[in-house]
Amino acid sequence: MDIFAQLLVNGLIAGGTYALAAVGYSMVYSILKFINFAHGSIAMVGAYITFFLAIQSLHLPLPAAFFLSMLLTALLGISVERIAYRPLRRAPKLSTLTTAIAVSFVLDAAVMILMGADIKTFSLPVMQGYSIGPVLITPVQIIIIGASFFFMLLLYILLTRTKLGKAIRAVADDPSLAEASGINANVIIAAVFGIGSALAAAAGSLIGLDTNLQPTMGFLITIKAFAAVVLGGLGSVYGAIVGGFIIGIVENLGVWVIPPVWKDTIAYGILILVLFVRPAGLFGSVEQAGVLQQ
Amino acid sequence: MSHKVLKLLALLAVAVLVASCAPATPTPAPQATQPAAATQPPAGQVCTVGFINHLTGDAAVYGQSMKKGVELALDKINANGEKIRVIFEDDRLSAADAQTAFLKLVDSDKVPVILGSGSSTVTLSLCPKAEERKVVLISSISTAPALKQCGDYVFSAMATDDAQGPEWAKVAEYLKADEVAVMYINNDYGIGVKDAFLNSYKGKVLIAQPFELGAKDFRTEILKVKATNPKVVFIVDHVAEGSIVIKQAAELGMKVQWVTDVSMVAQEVIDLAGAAAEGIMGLRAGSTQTPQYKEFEEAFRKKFNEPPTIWSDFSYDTMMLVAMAIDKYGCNSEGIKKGLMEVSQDYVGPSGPKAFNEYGISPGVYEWMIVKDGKWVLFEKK
Repeated sequence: MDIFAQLLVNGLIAGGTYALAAVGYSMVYSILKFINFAHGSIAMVGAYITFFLAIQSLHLPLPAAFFLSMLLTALLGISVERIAYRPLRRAPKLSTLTTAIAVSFVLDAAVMILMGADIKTFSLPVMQGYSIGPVLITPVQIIIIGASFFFMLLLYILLTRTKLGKAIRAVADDPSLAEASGINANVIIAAVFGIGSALAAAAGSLIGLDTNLQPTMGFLITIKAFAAVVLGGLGSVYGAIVGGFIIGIVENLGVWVIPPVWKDTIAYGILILVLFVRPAGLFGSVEQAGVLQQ
Repeated sequence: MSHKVLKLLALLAVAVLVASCAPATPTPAPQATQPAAATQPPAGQVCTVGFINHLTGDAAVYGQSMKKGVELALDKINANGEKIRVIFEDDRLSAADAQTAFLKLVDSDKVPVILGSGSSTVTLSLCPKAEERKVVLISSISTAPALKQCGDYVFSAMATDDAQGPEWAKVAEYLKADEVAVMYINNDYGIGVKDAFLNSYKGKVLIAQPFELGAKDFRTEILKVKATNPKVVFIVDHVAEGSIVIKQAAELGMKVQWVTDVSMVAQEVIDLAGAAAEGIMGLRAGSTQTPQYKEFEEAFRKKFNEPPTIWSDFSYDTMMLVAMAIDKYGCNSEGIKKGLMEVSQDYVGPSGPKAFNEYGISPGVYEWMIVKDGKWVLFEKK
């Protein structure tokens, strides 16, 4: 029972990061009906920016570096949208998907060239976790879970209580109608990319704090986030959160009974299963799911 | 541009993308007689040799380190005029990319010998090609026992894992551990060492837990090991994953005596695992106490401004041996093959004695190391 509790907590740690990455992914999808395969790479860039600011050059205190990185990565996301995706907005979906893959290659290679291919670490002091009942959890891990929930809460407040949030939901619902009501779709789309990228940076930095940084870490983040979004339901931001946590928990519990070589297969397996059985995902709507058939 | 053309271009782009992602299919074996093994201009002119290793990717720390060893050796070899030139190729820790690099070096650059790779899995994938094309392949550190069956064009400067396993068993005996846990990375190397250890160790193995190359989160695997309550855990792994395992194990409250394999006795492990690395033991191939090593260490520090990185001494010796063979028999595969066997018999370099046995493998000499005050130091046996 103790072990189960520990596995659950470990699942929450991993799940929190997946959920955070998935949320940004899902938001972009809701607005543009477009699966941004470069999302993981953006998260990776965010992680490296945090590392650069905190450790490599300016030596800022970690929280400052963290938030600054979110801001800078938001700007990166907005630029990527402007340069790579906006010109293709009326093009067939295949073009944008291919472009997204290309963007991820470019980002991965750029970071590898600028920062080197070796593993970087935040060199946090290693500490044995606090005992909360049968479970051991370190301060950093608590921060990871806490930060995930914090940002998700912020997002909820943004989407439901602010004018920008309302505009975002309007554009997600029906872009032409929203434009007719005077909402500038371009600005909203840029805002969504900005927010999504900032969250990706947060997710990437948290993952980097937990398991170190490598230029290749983006791909796995993209895959897990994608699986989380599909599981939770394309078009449902909160579904993505739930999806992320489910994958994190199932992975950690799963490896207890099956050989670890199958661990990533769990995420892929869930993806395939959901697409077969209920393409709309847990909370998604069937019309949104129609895009996957294109 | 018309819609149709645009669509066609898009399709083409995707096709190219998919083709470049797909694993390289091996080219069909050419028929009948092979052209004579690659030869180059006779002695007196520059001999070009190839180098294939993981310069980027998860195991880049090893590939880059071995490149440094080769560069240091080249300084000495070419001190009186350029005799040997090395073409460095990256295999990205992928057998497919290694094959591509191999074919490029042999067909385009016509090298008679290739230094590489590091990973046993990659080297094993190159073996058949080396034998088929009659090109000498010499690895600095690949240790999978299967290398013994590769053929006489293939050499390794490090003893196979059947030597590391028994050494671990000696450590277990010294620590008076009648029951241990084993954690191993799930590739040819990890499985090889694990099996060799299980064959030599006489005590009880509580659990043999595999984990995956490239994964980042090992908490569940660690919990499974922790549940068996070990006092000593033997771990065979690479720097990237191993350091995370040790760090996460410390966070999960696991207090054991870790004993690592040779690939973890690197400063990077201490940098990445932090305080959790304090007190872990490990095996070091070769010896840091010999005059050859100390001389090498000094030269390395002078050139690179840091202490010798992991296995740079092995790749240094590999390059020196190849140079000596070329000196004796010329820049051709047959000569190098013969030469390596001969020159290695009396050769003792910074990584120890290198005399190739009948399989083309060097003998195994190990030191025991321990992390003290953030550095790997020699373990004092009482």
